[in-house]
Parts: sequence; C-alpha cells; structure tokens
Amino acid sequence: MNKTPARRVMLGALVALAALLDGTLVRAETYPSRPITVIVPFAGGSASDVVTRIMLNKMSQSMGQPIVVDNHPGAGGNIGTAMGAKAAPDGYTWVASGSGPIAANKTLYRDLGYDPEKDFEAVTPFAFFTIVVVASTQLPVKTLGELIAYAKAHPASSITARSASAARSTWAGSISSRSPAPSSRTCPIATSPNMGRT
Amino acid sequence: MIAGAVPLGFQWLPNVLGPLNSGGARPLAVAGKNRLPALPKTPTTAEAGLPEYEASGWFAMQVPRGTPKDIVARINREMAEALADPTVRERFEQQGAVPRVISPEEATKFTSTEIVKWRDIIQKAGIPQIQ
Repeated sequence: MNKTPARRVMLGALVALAALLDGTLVRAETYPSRPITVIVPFAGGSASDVVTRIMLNKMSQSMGQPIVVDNHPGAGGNIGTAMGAKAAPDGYTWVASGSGPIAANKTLYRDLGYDPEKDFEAVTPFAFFTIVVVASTQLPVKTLGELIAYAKAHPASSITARSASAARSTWAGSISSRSPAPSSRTCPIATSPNMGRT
Repeated sequence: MIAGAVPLGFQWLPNVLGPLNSGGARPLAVAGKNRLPALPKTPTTAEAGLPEYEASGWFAMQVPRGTPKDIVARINREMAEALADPTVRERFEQQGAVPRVISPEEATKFTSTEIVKWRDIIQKAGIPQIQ
C-alpha cells in the first residue's frame, strides 16, 4: 500500500535525473571528452600563432584533452575564420581569431564569408598587442625623430617597403598617412601591421 | 628586413623578433601608451614625439554560434586560469603581448565596439574596400 507513493517519488526522481543527465549537467561534467581543434587563421610562427599555442598548451593540461592547432592562413585571416563559423557548435572547434578578421575586416572587405557577430559566440579576447616600429639597421636612423627627418630628406621611393598582401599594404599606407610622421601623403612609408600577418 | 629589402616595419613584436634579435633591425618606437616589458629601452611613440600615432590589436577566442552557453563559460574560465599562470604571463610578455580575459558577455560587447572603432578608422583614412 505504501509502496505506491514511494514508487512515485522514485519515478519522479528518475525522470528528473534523466532530464539532468540529458542536459547541461552531463555535458558540463564530461566536456571535453575528446580532443579539441583550434583554428588559427594565421601562419604558424606568426604573433597570433605563438601566443595562442602558449595559452593552449596550459589549457590542454588542465582540461585533460589534447588541443590541436590547425593553421589556416589567408585573406587577412578571413579564410580560417570562415571555416570556424561553419564548424559544428559542439565545443570541439574553437577559432583563435583577431582584430583583423573579427573587427577591421568587416569594413575592409566587401564579403568576408561570415558575420563576426552573428556567426560566433565571443568567448573572450586574450592577447593585446601594440605595433612596434622597426627599422633595418641598413637604414641610417636610430630614433623615430631621425626616421622622420630621413623620410623628409629623401624621395618617397627610397623608403618604401614591401608588404605581402593587398590588405596589408592598403592598411599600412593608411596608418602612416594618419600619423603626422614622415608624412606619407608625400612619402609612402609602407608596410604593414596587423591585418595580413597577424 | 635583414637583407635591407624591407627597410621599415610596423609590426606585432613576434613578427619582427627574428631581425631584432639578429641585429638586422632596431626598434624605434612602440605605438602604445606604455613601453613593452620585452623592449624596455624602446620609447613609446608619445615619448618619441608622435603622441597621435597609436596602433594596437588583439586576438580573441570565438566558437561557432550555437555552442552551448555552459561550454562557452567553461572555455572562458579555462582561458582565465591559463592566463593567470605566471609562466604563461611571462611568455606572453616576452612576445610583447598583454594577457587579458573578460566575460563572454563583455566579449560580445567588445566585438561590437571594436567593429565600429575600426570602421571609423578605416573610413576616415579613406582606405578602399577589398573586393
């Protein structure tokens, strides 16, 4: 007689447990249960790649699963980022992207092949970089002031540098022309920060 | 750069560490508010007389839309823990990178803000769109 309520309680508990097991509880407790792939949309050895691997190496130890970096450079980081947008949303594919493909390229490129906001969940930024202005030791300048003086004294062509992609060179020109520096309106100091080889 | 083919660069530090370490290039300035621990002798652009020139960027973790929120939160926590590790922080510093983690909610706002910020910079600079 008194078995029925007990059975009901037990049944109810089982149903509740099943619901929990089916949902987030089990996932949170078992995740990650297999290796994770992290798409890095930049070349191996680049700034992004180096710091991402430093961080992932540590995370792999604490998460107890291998975290495999998959470099997919190209189009200023857009190609690899687009691949990440199309990956299964199961927690086993992440994208370590950056201010190019996630922010600037939305304006720089007519078509990215993804929407940086709508196609992703943002986890968090993790590394902030500042541009470093460097000069070849073959250039007779040791300070930024000397560089500006040198640029003013020499024709534009003499200190134009090379860059690797349309994105980078376009961007580089702009950075210089925005700075009061060696006045790139008349003297294009080229090359390039971030967009291409991040 | 070492060969002299590229006399000047505006780059993230890791991308020019090779020529800097081999003596093929010298750092003139850091385009940010603070000097880099990895280049303590290199002045900021402001110190070098160019306060208006600052350029920085960031790397961020994204997961495909639809990834469960608890997993997003877990990855966020794991990243925060990894970046709190002194060895990891030191290795970031050596690369000229500043480690920082924010919540996924803040990260979503951060993305939107950055898109607008870069759009304004690019449009003001008159950079043509890449087809």
